[in-house]
Amino acid sequence: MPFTSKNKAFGLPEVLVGLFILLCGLGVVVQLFHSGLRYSARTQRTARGAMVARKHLERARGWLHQTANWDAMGGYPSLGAWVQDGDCPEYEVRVELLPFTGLNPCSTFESSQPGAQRSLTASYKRLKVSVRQDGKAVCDLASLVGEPRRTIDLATALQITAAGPTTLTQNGTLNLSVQLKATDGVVIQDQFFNWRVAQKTGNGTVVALTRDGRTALFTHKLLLSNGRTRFVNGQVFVKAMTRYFGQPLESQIELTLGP
Amino acid sequence: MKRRGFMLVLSLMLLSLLLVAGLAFLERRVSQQDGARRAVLTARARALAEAGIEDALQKLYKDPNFPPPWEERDLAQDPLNQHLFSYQENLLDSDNVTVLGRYEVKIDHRTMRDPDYLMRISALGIVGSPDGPEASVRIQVVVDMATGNRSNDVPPNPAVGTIVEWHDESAL
Repeated sequence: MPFTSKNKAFGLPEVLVGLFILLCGLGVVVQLFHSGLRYSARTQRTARGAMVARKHLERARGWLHQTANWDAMGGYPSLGAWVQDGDCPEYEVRVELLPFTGLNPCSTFESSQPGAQRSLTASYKRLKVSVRQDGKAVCDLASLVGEPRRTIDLATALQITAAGPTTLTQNGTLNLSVQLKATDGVVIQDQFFNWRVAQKTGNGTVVALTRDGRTALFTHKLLLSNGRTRFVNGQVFVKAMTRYFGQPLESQIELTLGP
Repeated sequence: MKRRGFMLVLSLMLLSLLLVAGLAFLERRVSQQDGARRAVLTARARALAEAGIEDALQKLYKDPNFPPPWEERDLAQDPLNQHLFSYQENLLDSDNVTVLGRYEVKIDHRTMRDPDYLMRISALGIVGSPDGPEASVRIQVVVDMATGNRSNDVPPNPAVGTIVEWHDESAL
């Protein structure tokens, strides 16, 4: 076919402009896809990192729920050090166990009791799990783990100790303390107690010396509502009560109140 | 037949198509990235909610006066929800300054009576500021507090103090 002005191909300027625009556009598109792929890699890294952190949190929690592990805190593998995750070696994981003090019933109530706060100092561990990849933080989780249940003998677990003779004269006082012991002899920490007097033939007064009730003072004296005092000689039981994992526990000590 | 400008139009059309495809691809990746970020925040919130449950359980296990006593009365005459004891705590880092997160605990006394003797504890783990949390997860547990065996009511109940129900839900 002859080449005429009515049937000619694209002109050079048209081709050049078209190619230029196409190349510029392609550059933008390539950039878009590149960013998308980068996002994709980051997404995968973050999502897997969260799963790795969760796995280690549960593993440490399960480990701490064994009383032997709870007592031997240093026994957790590579505690406090960055180690490679077994399933996803591209991640490094650090597990930290730190002490934690909880206020009972809550910090809002106890903030009004500076110096005499009801606290639990040995019942929790603050558990932190950090995950990183190529030195960059991916996920950090923080939680608390509570002390596991210990085996106790219901009949003998609660033990009251008197700081002096159990025979008192009028106006005489006796310091008492109480503790809860597991069958392996370990004293269970952070236990709270209530005290009361059970009249047998005599009667007296017991008051907790500390807000946790771990110590109390018995006095051979009754304070009446009219402000007067009265002495009731005879035998009296002083009882300490607590609750351990829902189980109410009670123990008593017998005192003799003389003239 | 005029063909001037045809190459330009073709280029622009092709380019537009590629651009739309690229933008759609990017948008999808951004939304996936947002989902992954949310997964991390939810994992954090869940860990905080678990901290709230552990906090409440230890107090419940070791203190006969926890939660603070509630006088039993007709629930209809309890418009202020006094049958609920609730509190919130910040979980601080080891420096005792940096706030790692927050949890809110609610303890429901209503079923601590015959024949149920169940304590319901709910903990909400919150990541972010209290005004505009980035993520939150609520965990609800039910603890068996019956001292007598549930089959014959004779003490002891071997399951006393154990968690009999555990619900985990993402709130945000």
